[in-house]
Amino acid sequence: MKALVFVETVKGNVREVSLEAIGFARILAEEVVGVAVGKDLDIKGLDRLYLYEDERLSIPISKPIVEIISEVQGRENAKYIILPSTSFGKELGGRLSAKLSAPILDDIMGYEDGMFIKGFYSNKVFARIKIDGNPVVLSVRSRAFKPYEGNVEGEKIKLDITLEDGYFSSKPVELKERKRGNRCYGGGHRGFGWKGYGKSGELS
Amino acid sequence: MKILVFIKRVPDTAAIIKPSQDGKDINRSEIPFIINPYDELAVEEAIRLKEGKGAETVVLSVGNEDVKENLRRALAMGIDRAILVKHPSYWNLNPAQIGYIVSEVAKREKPDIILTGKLSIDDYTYSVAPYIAEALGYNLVTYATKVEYLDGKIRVERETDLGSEVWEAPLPVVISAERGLNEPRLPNMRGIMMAKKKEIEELEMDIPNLSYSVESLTPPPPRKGVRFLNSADEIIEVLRNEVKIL
Repeated sequence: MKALVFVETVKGNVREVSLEAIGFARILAEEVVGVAVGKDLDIKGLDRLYLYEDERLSIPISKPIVEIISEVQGRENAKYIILPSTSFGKELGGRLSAKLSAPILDDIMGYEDGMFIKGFYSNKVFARIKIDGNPVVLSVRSRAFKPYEGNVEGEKIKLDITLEDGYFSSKPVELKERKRGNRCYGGGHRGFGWKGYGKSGELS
Repeated sequence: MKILVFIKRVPDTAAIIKPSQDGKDINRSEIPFIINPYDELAVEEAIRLKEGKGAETVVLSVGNEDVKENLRRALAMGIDRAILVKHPSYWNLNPAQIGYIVSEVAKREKPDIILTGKLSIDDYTYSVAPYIAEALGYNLVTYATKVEYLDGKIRVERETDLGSEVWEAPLPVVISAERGLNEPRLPNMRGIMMAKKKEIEELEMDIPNLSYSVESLTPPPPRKGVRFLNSADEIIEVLRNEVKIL
């Protein structure tokens, strides 16, 4: 069985929940393929990593990235498409579900006996869920799974596809500084002190 | 301009929710239900856009007869029309099925703006707004905290886990509402009386069959690592014999 993980990056750094998604993918599938927007990323746990570079995606926009993931899915035919349960990952999930006619499960916290576990009703009850399809879209809650700790490191494949300008018709025009921190891996951005995008108005 | 708002009926956030006896559902008959709070923000925003710019507003939900109560509340707040897509156990639908239903109704209604909450607080899913945008080829702006309508396009402030952003998107567009977008109004008596007279259009729809089922619901596991110790001696004993750091 194969899983495809979207590795979310911010300013070239991999978000830690993406590494946890790879760890979860390794529980679900024997073969794990990744796809990311970036120039050169070193990520353990992937049998193959598809990389796509585009300056227009320095701020993530879901429509073009869904097209990139769909392109890779077309090549790999993965059973599971796994996303980090971030604001952006959740946005991708809904779009992928529609594009690929796939069932979806957000915010997974556990996996036992072939069933996925997540909180319902503000975590007042925990649901054990059976979900199947080809593919199934899943998003993984931050800190629910351990990051992959093995040594698998596969080849990197540069994606050469053209994204239509129309995919960028909805886009950011201004950024504002983040008050709270967020977790990001590498590049000096690890830890809770990280301030997101940076200064207000910075868009490049 | 036409605005379509999707709302979902969910248990009141203050309700005491327990698994039912068979463990497949919750104690549904014992708890109050409300419009999903994020969807209520979407209802309010639609009414404000209508009041500011002029628009026809339509509210849509999926479910059984009980859901009419929530649709009537939206009508009482100021929405013009209501549509109910009938489904006996809507709470068991996958977000992809909900998204499909909204998309199909939107194909008929052809709204310029579709508004809904960023999240449904019952099954904690964020997928419906992005699903609709993808299915219809609409633009998408999620997590909106402020919406401005600017002649053929919208300008939206949004809040994500990375920061605050301002986005612009041409119509048609799907917008998901984040907390802070507005303060939903309470329906006034005139609105409530008028809502009672309005007809709710009912639709039947074949929806895609997906392999998705909630097998069991259980109370959350007890929190690990929280234990009250009564004396310094007991703390020392635990640190020495269990944690083994002394």
